[in-house]
Amino acid sequence: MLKSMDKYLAAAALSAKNYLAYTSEVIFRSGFLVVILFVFVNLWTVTYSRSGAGVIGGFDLKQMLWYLVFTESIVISRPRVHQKVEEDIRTGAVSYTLARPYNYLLFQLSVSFGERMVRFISTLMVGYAVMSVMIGPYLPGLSALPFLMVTVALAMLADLIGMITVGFLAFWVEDVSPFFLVYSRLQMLLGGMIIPITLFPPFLRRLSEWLPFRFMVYAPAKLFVDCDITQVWSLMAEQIFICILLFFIGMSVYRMGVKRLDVNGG
Amino acid sequence: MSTAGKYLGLFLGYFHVNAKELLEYRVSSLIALFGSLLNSAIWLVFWWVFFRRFPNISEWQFVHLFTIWAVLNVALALVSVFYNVYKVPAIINEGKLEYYLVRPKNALFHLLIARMQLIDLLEAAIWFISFIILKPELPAVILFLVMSVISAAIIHGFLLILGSLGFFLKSADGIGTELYNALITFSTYPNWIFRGAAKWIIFTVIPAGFISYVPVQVIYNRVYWWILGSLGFGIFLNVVGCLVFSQGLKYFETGNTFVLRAD
Repeated sequence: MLKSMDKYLAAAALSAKNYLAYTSEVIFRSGFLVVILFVFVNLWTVTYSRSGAGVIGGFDLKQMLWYLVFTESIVISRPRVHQKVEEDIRTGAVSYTLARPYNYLLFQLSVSFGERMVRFISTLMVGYAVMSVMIGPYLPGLSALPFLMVTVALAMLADLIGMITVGFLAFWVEDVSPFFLVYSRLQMLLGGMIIPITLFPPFLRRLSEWLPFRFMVYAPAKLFVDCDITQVWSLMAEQIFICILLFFIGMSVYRMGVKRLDVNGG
Repeated sequence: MSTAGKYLGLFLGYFHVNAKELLEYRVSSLIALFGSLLNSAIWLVFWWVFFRRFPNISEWQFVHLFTIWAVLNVALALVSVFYNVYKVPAIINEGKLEYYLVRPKNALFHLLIARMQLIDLLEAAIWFISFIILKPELPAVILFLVMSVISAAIIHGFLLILGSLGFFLKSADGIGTELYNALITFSTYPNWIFRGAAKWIIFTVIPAGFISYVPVQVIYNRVYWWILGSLGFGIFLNVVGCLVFSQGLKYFETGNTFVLRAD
């Protein structure tokens, strides 16, 4: 089992190595991140000060702002793997992969995961520098760091499997972008990217708890600012369960799609 | 036919061509419309949650935020009638400007109207109807329309200045995109969250205050002198944009790329 995973780990490592060449480009193209963090600092500083509350939704001001740095970094670092899958299906390139000794979903997952890790670290570095200048530096607890790394990795894996599954819809439709748009916007709100889910009214919170998006964004960001490792084992178990569930959904969609694949020409 | 009549004829001709294109690709246009509306809806849910949680944070309520989103979206739709204003640096750099220079009409006017994204007008209609439902008062509706047109002029002038810098700077496209994104981002937040230098920036370098704060002042507090102020600023930006463009034309040297038809 572990041996068969070697090729996927190699693909992820190679992809990360390739993408390291573009790190400086990612850093210099982070203008939007700087603007949005500047706006968030202003919005939440005023909100905490005018409401007179020290803690809102379980976050103090510093935690809220660092939470937003982390969620933005997770989401901005997302590669466009759904478009790659869509292109493979539309051009028929996916048919060549059928004979190769790897699982197409796992292969795309490995390649996109390698790229995403590099992008995430670069984006987080920019966000960290900007926020440190604006409100002062922050260091998460060292004891939480290994758990944080695992949680972030699991969050990204779950998200990438979701994106690849959206890409598989190209077996039925010409353009998957509307489906991805719904996916990404639901994640933006219900995943807690722009506001922590603890601030939601009860019905939105319930909806968020029923969907997998909070494991992709809210959970790792909350761990980053809270460093509470008492809940971390159950969180990781839930994330692994979500990854496995999404993987089986993705593979079912892929198998259904491949059955109706009809490629002309060579 | 008078000169104005000829220009109007050209405008209507391009409008007709772009409307036919819209009908040809209506599904992808409707998907783009759906995407834009969904994105706005998600942000409005955010603001609804925010104001539900902090109802007394300022004199602004959810209705004010909805108004600035509606004004901004109607304004952006109007700018989409001159869609090439977003693409001026690319048109300069890719050798597409020459097509307009050899035509008998004013190159800048011709360039701006050659491409229109008319589906955005449908989005503008949706936002306009939503505003009427939200505030069914004739004076407010008229002021909403006036402020949307003025906001469109400000965004257009801002884009024209940034785009015309493409004559002088190779990286104008990247810088322009970053500043435009900053303008749109700042325009969707209430002005009272900004303090210190940021308060000045949103009324000068990145004039988002004219698109968010001013319409609310005019529509809800009836501070009419702001209409003249922002109208003057909109005209000023467009005049500067035209000047930068005409100066750029003097500086412009054609390359060896030859494009027969370029929108």
